[in-house]
Order: sequence, then structure tokens, then C-alpha cells
Amino acid sequence: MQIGCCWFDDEQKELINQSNATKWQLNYNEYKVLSILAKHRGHVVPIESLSFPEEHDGYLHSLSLTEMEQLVENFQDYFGEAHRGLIELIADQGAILYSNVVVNRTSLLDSPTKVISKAHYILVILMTIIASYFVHSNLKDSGFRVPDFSAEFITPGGSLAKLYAYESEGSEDYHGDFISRSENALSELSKCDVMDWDSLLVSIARDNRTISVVLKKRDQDGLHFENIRVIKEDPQMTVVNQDWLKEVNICG
Amino acid sequence: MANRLAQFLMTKLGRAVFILSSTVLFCISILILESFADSRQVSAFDCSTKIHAMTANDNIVINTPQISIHLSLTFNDEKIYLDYFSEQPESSREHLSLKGQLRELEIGKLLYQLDLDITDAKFISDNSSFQSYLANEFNESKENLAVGNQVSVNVQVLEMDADNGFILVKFTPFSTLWACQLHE
Repeated sequence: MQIGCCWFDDEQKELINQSNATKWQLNYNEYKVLSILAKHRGHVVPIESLSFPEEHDGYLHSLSLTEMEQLVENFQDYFGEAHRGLIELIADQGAILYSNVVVNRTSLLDSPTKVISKAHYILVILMTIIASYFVHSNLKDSGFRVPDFSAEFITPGGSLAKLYAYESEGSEDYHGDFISRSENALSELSKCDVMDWDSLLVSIARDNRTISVVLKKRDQDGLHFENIRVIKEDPQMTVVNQDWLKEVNICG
Repeated sequence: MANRLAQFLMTKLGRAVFILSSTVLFCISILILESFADSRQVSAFDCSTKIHAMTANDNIVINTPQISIHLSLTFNDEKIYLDYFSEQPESSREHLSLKGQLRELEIGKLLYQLDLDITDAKFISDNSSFQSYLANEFNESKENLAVGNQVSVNVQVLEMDADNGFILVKFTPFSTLWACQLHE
């Protein structure tokens, strides 16, 4: 009987690999198992059915799972790499000798639907969704908050400085007004005769009355900074002018 | 080896072991990540700000410099201490002391959510500008700034220069900026 590239000689109890001209003399167990599987080719034969009289004492002998695993591994080696998938041990069911080479379904890298059950597949998807949600919930809106308005300006004295403004979150003030106020501040800052600071960071608080100003400059002694808090009586009040900028030490 | 593992996973016991071990590993990983994130601490710092009250009188804007406010954030025994005080002589100095813990850290935003209890407070009058400012900063009424009450505030790190001991933080939801000196 032809099994892949091997010829099974039932009389001589031999398995001959025709692709590499190798002849295997089968032992008693190998011969009996292969004979039974060959008779039921294409069907799963329960391990319990692979019992046969012992060679010496004639008692009925049942193969253990370990013995079967060893036998199947032997046959896979005899059949060669290209046809090792012809025989397979199926857990909790039995052994099978295929008519044609099938894809080895025992590989962990096969398509998931073949290797794992639907329950496993659903579990993996669920875990992926939960992990994605966890990562998303911790990393959403990631990164430092960038200013809502930023611009560079040069004073008449030739000093270069930067203005960064942060709009309040949840402010009822509309964005156009925020930009207009920022541009007005930029215009007044550009008129400063002397500007000692490298950058000004401004944040308008939620009440639209409190303004935080942070002044920063870097020189050979390191980084210098100052906080100023402006609390306006009326949100619409315009406070940035040359006098005020000098009074609070923003302009020199 | 891989084949034996695959064979084992195809058995009922193998499936049960796979599901159980996967679930346990997954839960442990999530817990470790959560614990790691929430154990990160804000750097301790000191800050000070000048206050300017701007009022209008007959269309003339008047700038009235106020008493400066100091802020200090420190740690001790895994507790966070936030202390505000006005720049005045000891006898007339106003202050607000809070103690609490980090509720959650939003890593992506570098936002520290703090739950704090007011442990000490002193305001010189009912219309204290110091008290009004802090009521805004914590988004609470002035009456709530009393010992025993709890407040929540978020501190978001906008910029940090550890070499120069500089940190720029934003207190939300009120949205105030504090440029501060990091502790050594």
C-alpha cells in the first residue's frame, strides 16, 4: 500500500521511503498499528481500538497514550518532512492516517480558528478590547498641552521674545475674543523699549477675570522666572498698556 | 515541545488552564500598570506670585498691588502637603494648609488629580482677598475653605527643566499657572 512517498509492504512488515530509498523494518507494535490505521484510512481510530494480541504471550494488549505518541512520531519520521502530516494523533479521540497530506493543525502558529476554540478566540478579542480601552483611557489627549496662541515679537530695542497664551478650559469666553486679546497684548509688548524676558506665558482663568503671567529668561546664571497674577474687576477691562507693563516689571 | 503544548491545549484540561492562566496574567498586568501609574509622584516645589488687583474708576484703570502669595507642595509619608500663605508678618499672615493624596495620574496629560483635606486655615477677615483667590483656585465657595472640608484639584505639568530646578504647572479647573522652583 502506498502511504505518501512510502510503500507499506504488509508481508515483509517493511516501510520503504521511495524518495530517499530508505527501508524501515517495522517492529511488532508499529506494524500492527499501521495495519489497523491503513484499513480505516481517513477515519479516526480510537486508541482503545488499537489493541491487539501481544507478540509473545498472545494476551490482548492496549497501547498507552505515551506509546501511541512515540509510534506516531516514529511514523512521521519514516514518512519524511513532506508527508509527516499523513498521520496524526488527535487528543481525546484517537489516531488517523490521512489519504492525502493535510496541513499540520497542531502548530501554534496556524490560523487561530483552527488551533483554538471559538471560546478562546472570543476571550482573546475581549482581552484585546479591554487592554486597548485601558491604554486609551490613560493616554488620550497625550503629550504636553500646547499653547492656544503663540507668537514671537521684536521690540524697538531689538530684543526678541515669545508670547504663549493658554485659553481657559470650559471658559464661556469665545475663542475669537481670546485671540483678539492675545493679539492686543502682543501689540503692546512689541512697543516695549526694553524687554528683559525671553518668554511670557499667559493663562486666562475660568472666571475670565484672573490672568496668570509667567515671565522667563535664561542667562549665564541659569533660568530666572517670576509669577504675576492679575485680578480684574471686570472681565472686559483692558489692562495691558505701556504704563502697566512697566509697573509690573514686564517692560524695562 | 510546541506540538506537545498544542496537544495539551486541545484537551479540556489544557483549555481550562489556558483560560485561567490568561485571565490571571491579564488581570495582574493591568493591576501592575495601574499601580505603577498611580504611584508616580509630583515633584515637590515652591512658588510665589505677585498679585495685582485692577479696578476701574471713571474709565481710568487703577492697578493696586496686593500682598504676594506663596505656595509650597511637599511630600511626607506618601501624603501630599499643599501650603498657601500670604507674604505678611507672622502675626497677620494668612494661610491655608491641605493634606491629601494622589487619586489618579493621567499619564498622557501629566495631570495629577489630588484629593486634599483642609488641615489648617487662617484668614484675617471675611472679605480677605487671599481667601477669595484660593476659593477660585479650588473652585469652592469661601465658606468651604474651612478646616475639615475636602477639596479636589488637578495639577498639570506643562513644562519641566530639572537641571535648572524649574517646573511650570497649571491648576485646573480654574486654570492658573504657577512657575515654581523644584526642591533638590
